[in-house]
Amino acid sequence: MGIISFNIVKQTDTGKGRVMLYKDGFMHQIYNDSVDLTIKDSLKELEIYKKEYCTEGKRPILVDITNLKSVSKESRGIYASEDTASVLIKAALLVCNPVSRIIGNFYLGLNKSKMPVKMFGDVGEAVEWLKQAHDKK
Amino acid sequence: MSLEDTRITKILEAIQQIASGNFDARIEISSALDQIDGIATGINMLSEEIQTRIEEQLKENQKLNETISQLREVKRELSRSEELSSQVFQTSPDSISISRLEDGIFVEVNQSFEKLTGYNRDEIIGRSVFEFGLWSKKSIREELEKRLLKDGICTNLETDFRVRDGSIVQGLLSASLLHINNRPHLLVIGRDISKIREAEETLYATRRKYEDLIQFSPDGIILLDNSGMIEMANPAFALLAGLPAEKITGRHFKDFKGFNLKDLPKYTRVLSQVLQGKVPKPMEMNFSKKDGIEQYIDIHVTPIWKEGKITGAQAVVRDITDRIRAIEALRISEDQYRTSMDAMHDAMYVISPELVVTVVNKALRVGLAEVGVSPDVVGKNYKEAFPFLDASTVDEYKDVFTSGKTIQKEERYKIGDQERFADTRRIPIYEGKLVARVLTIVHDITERKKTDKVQQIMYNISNAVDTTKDLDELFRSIQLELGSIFDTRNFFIAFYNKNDETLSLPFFVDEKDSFDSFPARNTLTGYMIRNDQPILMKDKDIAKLVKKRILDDIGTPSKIWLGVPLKIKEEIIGALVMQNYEDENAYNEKDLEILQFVSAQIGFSIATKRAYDEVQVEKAYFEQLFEGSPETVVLTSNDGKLIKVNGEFQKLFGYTPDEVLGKEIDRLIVPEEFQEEARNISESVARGKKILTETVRQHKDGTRIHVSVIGTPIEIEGGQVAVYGIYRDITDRKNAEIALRESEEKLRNILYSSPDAITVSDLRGYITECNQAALDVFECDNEKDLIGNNANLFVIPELRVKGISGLKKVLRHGHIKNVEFEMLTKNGRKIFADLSASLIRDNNDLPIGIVSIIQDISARKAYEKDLKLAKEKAEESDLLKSAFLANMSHEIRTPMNAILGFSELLKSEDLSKETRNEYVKIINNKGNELMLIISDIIDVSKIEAGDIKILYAEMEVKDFLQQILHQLNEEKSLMNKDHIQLRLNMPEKECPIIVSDEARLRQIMYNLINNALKFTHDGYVEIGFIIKEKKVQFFVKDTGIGIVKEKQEIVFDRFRQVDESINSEFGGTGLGLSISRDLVNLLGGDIWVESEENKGSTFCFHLPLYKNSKAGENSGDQNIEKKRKGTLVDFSGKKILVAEDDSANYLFIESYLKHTQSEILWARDGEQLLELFHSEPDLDLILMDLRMPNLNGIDATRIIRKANKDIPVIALTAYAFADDREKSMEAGCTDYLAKPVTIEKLSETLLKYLK
Repeated sequence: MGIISFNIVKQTDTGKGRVMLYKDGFMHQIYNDSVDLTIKDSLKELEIYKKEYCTEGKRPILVDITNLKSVSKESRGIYASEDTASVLIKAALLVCNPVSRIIGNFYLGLNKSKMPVKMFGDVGEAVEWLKQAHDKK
Repeated sequence: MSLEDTRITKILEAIQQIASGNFDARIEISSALDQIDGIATGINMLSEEIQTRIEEQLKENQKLNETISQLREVKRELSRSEELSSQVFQTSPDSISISRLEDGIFVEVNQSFEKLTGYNRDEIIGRSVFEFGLWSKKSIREELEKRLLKDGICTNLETDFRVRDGSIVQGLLSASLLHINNRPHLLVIGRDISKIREAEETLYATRRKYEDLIQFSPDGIILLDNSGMIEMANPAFALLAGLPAEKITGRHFKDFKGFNLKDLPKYTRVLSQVLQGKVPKPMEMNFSKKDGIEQYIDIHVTPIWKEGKITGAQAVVRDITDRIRAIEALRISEDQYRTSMDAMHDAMYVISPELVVTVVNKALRVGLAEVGVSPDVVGKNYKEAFPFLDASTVDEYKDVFTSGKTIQKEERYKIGDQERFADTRRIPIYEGKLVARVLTIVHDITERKKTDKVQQIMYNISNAVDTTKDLDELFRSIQLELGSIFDTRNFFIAFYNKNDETLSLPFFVDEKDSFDSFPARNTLTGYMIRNDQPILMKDKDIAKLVKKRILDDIGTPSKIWLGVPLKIKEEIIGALVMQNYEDENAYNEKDLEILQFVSAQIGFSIATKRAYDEVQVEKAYFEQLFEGSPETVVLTSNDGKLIKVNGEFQKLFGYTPDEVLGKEIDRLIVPEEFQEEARNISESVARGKKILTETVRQHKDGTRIHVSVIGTPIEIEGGQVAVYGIYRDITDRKNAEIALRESEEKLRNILYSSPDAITVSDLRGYITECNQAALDVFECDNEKDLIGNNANLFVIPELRVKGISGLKKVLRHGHIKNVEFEMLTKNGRKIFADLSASLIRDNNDLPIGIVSIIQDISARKAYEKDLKLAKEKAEESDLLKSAFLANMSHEIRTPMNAILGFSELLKSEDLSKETRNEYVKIINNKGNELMLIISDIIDVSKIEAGDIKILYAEMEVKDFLQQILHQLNEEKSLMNKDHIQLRLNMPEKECPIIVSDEARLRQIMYNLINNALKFTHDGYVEIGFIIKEKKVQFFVKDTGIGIVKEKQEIVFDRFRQVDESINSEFGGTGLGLSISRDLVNLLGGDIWVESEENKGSTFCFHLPLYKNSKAGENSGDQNIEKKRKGTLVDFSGKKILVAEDDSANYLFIESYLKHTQSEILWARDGEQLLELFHSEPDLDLILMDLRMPNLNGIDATRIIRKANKDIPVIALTAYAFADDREKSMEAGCTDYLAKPVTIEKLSETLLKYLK
């Protein structure tokens, strides 16, 4: 796992984690240890993205799901929805353990996301991918 | 069992539960989030997924079951109605369909539907009507749906359907709503009405065509039924009848008044035939319009068949009135035509296609008879009838008969010896479409042809004026032209010379004779000219005249002579003569007339040619002048358009002739700023005025050109026709003029701006021009005061002779330089002038005037005078200074000698105390004298350098004078003037206060009083003041030797004394009064002296009064007394620090202080001073020398003040300057004492701060 060394310009507690905005323009969602993510949590995150981070347009996001213990099916549905795609350009899922990898695979396999989503084990690659996407935009 | 085994066991248990159908089973995920947790997560998510999907499948199954139930219900419903409806349904000729309202899916259709649409049932059922696109217009379907939803039923809706093969079928629909399984269905019954519509349209179209035919037919048409009733009348019939159609229809034809009553039986018979199926021939009948006008109609009646039966009759009526009337008119015209032909002047005849003459008119018959041809030509072949006609006319007649076109041509006949000309027209006469005959009209144009010929000759002769190169060629041309109608083999043109009565013959062609000229007298030509009558004369008549000696027999006699005078505007210029030597009938009267007629033109042509030749010569001259001119010459129309330019134009203005001709000259060559001027010039010239001016024009490239312009109107017969312009380039001259003018202007500017007075005069000296400086110098208001006057008038009278000789010198040598004159201004004031003058010469070096430069040197002269005085004064001053220095030397040396001498004597030890004291006193006195001298010298230096600073402060005058008196009373004895009374005289009630510098005022008073004491041997010296005009006037009055009046002026001058010899007696520097005067002036006052020799002097000065408090308030004497007592003080217990680097000075102070019982500390420099200041905290006062080693008194005071603000520090220094005082006070000193300080002053000051 690489080291993220971007300038944080904003961050918000999402309840079960926090979301940050880097100077480069992409968001970073991380979770507290051993979190079970429910639909309620996901809706709250999405609300924060909409109202606080994506008011001027869509942004790419790095979602570090390493600390997740589980994600409910409904919650996955939220992330795969049009609503989420309306505020996010792309999402890089950072998975660094078997559980998060399984969760990521389930998400990619069963939930047809409305935006490009890719799974990374290395934060540097994830950020590079996001920046490419972001720069292209 | 290890932890991992436990976790795997849990996973296995969960899998078993899931396998048994319990999809709610979940495995707990540890915080390790390792591989096992990953497997567990996967299983959890899989079971969740499966569970979700199973639930969704169950929901779907439930929906499916509901649908199946509904279908079953529908089927049951259908089964119930099937029997009832199937028979009707299937056998109906109309197409029937049942479809769901919501989506149009067909539920059932019958066979007719299949037939109508082309789709079979299996294809349709279960599919939507919209898939097939049956509704060609969706809006109709929507309309249907709307109606059904509203009313439940919709009937007889016409619409188009698109069937399987793509064709459109017109249908008539009825529809209603059915509810099957509680769902609305649409029952539609349709019928194909395409064929019905097609038949209807065909019928309609046919009927429409028939109606249109009747309506728009140009023939009138009426329809009658079997009974004869008029059922219909078309517009054409209505027009024919003059009635509207509705007034014609609905009545029996017999009642219709258009048909004549007498014709009714015939109509009835014809109608009867028609109703029997016969078709009678058309009839020409009469017909009356509504207004009764009789017309002719052609009527054609036919039966009307309907379904094999005659239902009525149709009558087509055509108006043939015009045709009938035309035929009648033709018949009438035939008669009129024969009559008319005979009445015609032109010969006319008609021939048949066989070329036989059928008709001739009277004119032809007469004409034929006249030329000897038989007039009985009718019935003859035209060639036989008219043998003189050309053979080609046969083809022409044939052509007219075949082509039907009229031929018109001029024909020439030769009948006997007569030549005739005719304008012949062969006109076809039609019968039907064929040319039945040809009418020939012959118009005799023989005379006209001759006239034309004469006209042609005249035209040719007129033309020859232009086409022939000279008169001779013109004459030949005239002969040739006349030769076409006359015999001109013997032909001459004679010009009549009135002066010598001769006839010159510029043209003479003759078979027999040859003449250049002959006399006019007694010749037939001369005879004719004199009588101004044309002559046609045969030889015998000429012979008679010869015989009668009216004529001389000149030249060969001719058989016939024909001559006419040649005239121009009624003036006979000569004659035109032709003659024949063989045929006496060669000319006749007609020829005479013609020749006379032609002669006018010939005369005019000859005159024109002569004039033209002259013009040509003039034109050539003009051209040469125009083109050869070295000037630019243009010819313009009156409106300024260029008609002609010569070659110089292009050189001057750059335009080629092609570029400018026809254009307005002003637009081409006139610069913008000269447009108005050019317009004025053009207008003047256009009004007939000659213009000669100089102006500016521009080259094509924009270059400005100075030109002289001559504009001359060209008039012909009193009317102006053009303008002739000559442009000359005067740019060089103008530039030279401008340069000259500029040069003159510059010179003039120099003249006028010169600070020196400059005048220009003629050779006699009379001023013609002058500048402002000259006016200023001579104090003149304007030029008139100078110009016109002789310059010598301004020289003072006694020098005018010198002035005249100066003028002569200028004329002789060309100039004079720096001659000084005393001159007079206009106001009579004398001025000194420096005069330089030189001759002005013209281009030929001849003198034309004199320019004079006069410099007012009065100021310089005055300055020189002042300078001279100053020099003298300086020289005097120098003497004074020398005297002063000598005096000064004496004044300084005298006390110095005493001081040095007595100091030397003091060294002697054997001196008694008294003697020693005496010596010390002398040294002290002489030291004081020396100090005074040095002070005076320093003061003079400071006054001269402007370094004296005045420190103003309020001061009481009385107090001040009392102090002065007190001090000088003591000094008086030192001056050995004890016998002189020193007294004070002040007004008791006044107590003035002035704002002044006390030190300087004291210095003034000391000087004055010392002087007074010095020059007073007996009596008194009185000081005091009076108040006068808000000023305090001080005075020092003595009863001394006084000053003579002449010397009173100089006593205040430096280095001056009333009598330098006196000085030796009285001593002194001679600076005291001078210093006093300068100081009084600095203090804002004046000083003067009033004196009388041997009686005394009073020196007075006044200063401004500040305020004046009345007396009695304070007693100056008391104050002084107090102070005086203060010198006897006791300072015991007081500790005084004396800072003084000079031990002598310290000893002086110590010597004084030790009598006061005070404790004294001595600091030799600034550092010691500070040490003692810090080590002796109980100091009471510091006497501070400002100039000390290591640390000066100013800086030391500043340091002390930081530690102690209260201790009195008294500055004590030799720098007796105001600056030192200010600096020390600024540094924090409490007071100031200037060296050398007196014991009194020191005592007074110490008393002030140590009390």
